Amino acid sequence: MISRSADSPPATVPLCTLRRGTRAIVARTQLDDESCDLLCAMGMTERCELRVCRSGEPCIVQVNNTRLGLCLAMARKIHVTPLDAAG
Amino acid sequence: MNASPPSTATDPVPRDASPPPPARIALLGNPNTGKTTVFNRLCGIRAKTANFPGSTVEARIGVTTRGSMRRHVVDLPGLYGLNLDRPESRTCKEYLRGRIELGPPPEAILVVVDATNLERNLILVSQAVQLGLPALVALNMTDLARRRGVRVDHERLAARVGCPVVPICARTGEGFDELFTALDTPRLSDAALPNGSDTPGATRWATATEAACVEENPTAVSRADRRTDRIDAIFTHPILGLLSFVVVMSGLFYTIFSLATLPMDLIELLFAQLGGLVGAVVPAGPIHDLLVDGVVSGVAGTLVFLPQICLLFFLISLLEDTGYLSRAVFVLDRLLRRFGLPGQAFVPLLSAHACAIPAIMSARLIPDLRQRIATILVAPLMSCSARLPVYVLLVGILFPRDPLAAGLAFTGCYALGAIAGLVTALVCRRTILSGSSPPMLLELPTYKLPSLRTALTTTMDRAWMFLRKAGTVIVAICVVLWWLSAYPTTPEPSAATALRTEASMTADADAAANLTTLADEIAGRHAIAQSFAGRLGRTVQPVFAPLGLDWQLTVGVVTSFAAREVFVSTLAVLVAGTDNVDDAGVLQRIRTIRRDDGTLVLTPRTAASLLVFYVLAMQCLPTLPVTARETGHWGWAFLQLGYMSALAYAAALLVYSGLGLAGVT
Repeated sequence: MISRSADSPPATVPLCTLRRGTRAIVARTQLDDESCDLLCAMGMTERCELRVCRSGEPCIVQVNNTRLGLCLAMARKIHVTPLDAAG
Repeated sequence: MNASPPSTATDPVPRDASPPPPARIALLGNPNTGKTTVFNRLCGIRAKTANFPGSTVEARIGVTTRGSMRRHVVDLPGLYGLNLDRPESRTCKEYLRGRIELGPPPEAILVVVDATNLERNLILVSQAVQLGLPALVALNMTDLARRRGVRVDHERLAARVGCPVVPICARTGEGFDELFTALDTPRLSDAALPNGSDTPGATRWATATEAACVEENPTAVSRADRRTDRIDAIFTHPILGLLSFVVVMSGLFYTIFSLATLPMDLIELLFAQLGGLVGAVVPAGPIHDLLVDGVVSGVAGTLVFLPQICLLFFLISLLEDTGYLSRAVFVLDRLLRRFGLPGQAFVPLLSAHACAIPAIMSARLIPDLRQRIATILVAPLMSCSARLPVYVLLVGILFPRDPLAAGLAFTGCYALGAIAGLVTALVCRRTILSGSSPPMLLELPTYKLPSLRTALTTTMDRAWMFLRKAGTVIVAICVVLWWLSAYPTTPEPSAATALRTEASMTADADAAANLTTLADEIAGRHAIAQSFAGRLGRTVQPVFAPLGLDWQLTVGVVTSFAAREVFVSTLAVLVAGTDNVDDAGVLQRIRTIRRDDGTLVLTPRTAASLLVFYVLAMQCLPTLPVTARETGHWGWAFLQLGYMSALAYAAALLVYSGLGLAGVT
């Protein structure tokens, strides 16, 4: 399950700020428990690696071989640690 | 059902437990794992759909005769986890634990997993094998995994999950011989698994299991992924995505309208002939009238919806299978979310422009119950094809010699319905259906060629469901409304009798025919005016008087309670004694219908009031049983009827009064 926190550590940024092609590690979310559980069941677990396929509304990310579309409001509340620059 | 309590890591089931071959199997899996394709491979397309008691969660039930014995297979809805706070998760868990029934309880679980996405799928596997039922895992999409360089050691995986794992490819049928054999030997898992309710523990276990069983885990972005990125960039773009959507939906509805016309005409023709046949065999009298005008017409009135329903679900299933539909949901979500509706609502709202009945049935695409009910409640406000004859008549009266204004009025009718629908949805979501909307989060499946087999199965399911659940009620409603319009029978008025007598004594054949036609017109007008519906129209006329309606228009409104288009044919009977509305002369006579004091009934002011009434009024009783079925409660159907009727009356009153104040007559 992705842990919840009101304050993100400095190294993390909201998912919605990443550019297309960026890889990142999921750090924490500010979502409710239900959304956290669903994200986790859909494959976006804590410390999982993702790739941003499309930024903006919707934000599309790829986790392993699963492609997830998230509304912008949700992408704002998921904090990730970028691994590299946009490719 | 006497289910064993769920086993956990601390409560292992003995390894030597060897249950007999199961005769009833539940099929479980994440969405987009090819579970439906597996079910179709197991059972063919002859399956029935059933709802779990007291819910709209549905499962498909089929029978497979391949393998060592005949088995019942229940295809449960796709879900991401058994412990999620979602209706399908709760229902499936309770069903697998034997706490709710859908026929005989399952004796084993077949979990379908996506070999290209093992980690996520394993969380559901770990939950499923701990429910106390023997289980086995079908490792699907092995062909795709091979192409992506993913190799799953299925024997090691079987050891980790504690039950057999069979690699298959449902698309090609590869591995199904082995699967049918393995269905005889599902096992109670004795593996050390995390507790089902421990999501972080399950996640860690799934990660470790994937690492142990997947020999190669590619991280490089494949060409296929980059291609998908490029297509997604177009289909989810704010402008290009909307344009693509318009093109795709225009094509879809053009196909529905153009292809449905022929079978609909054939159904009407067939039943007209059947009515004639029955009429020739059964002697004249009440039974004859009941069979010909009530039952045969009622069945025809029900079956005529089938071509549109079948085509809509067939095309939507194809579209969903390609992967496009989930992208379109995001494009429309931006607009619809402002009105409390999700992006998925575009399918029912657009479909409702053809017919509200298939539209309401397609609202099942919407996962959130409140949003689904709101969509169902407002779908009939979209201008359906049945409103067209009424629009043609009334817009023609308003703008008889101004095609541009008539065109704008037509557009205005459609816009009024759509705006009223969206505003009503917003009001519903802020009052009776209030509550936070779940944020839009969707899995975007890989783009692929759609499966005709799956589309046909879905279409047959929906068509059968419509006929079985809604069709029977619709036929009953049609019969009752026919009876109200046809009874009591009254003696022919003396004027008509006199004309017939005169016709029988006239030597000139043409003159005799004219006299007989005139007698038929008088008799037809008299019959409908004296029927229960006609009397009801006269009785309730004071209610409609503030809208400018006289008794004749009120009778039209009352008789068209079942279906809007009946309004025009009722007026045709009232003014001309025939329901042939294709006759331009009849339409002209409707336009010049007069009150008892000799003034015109359908003045521009009355026509505008009536037009607004028909844009917003329910006036389609067959929709009600469908709403009741899809919402699970008749209360929602009556609310729909009540609010639409009230809204239509209030808006028509406003228009009639406003035009009166503006000096329009």
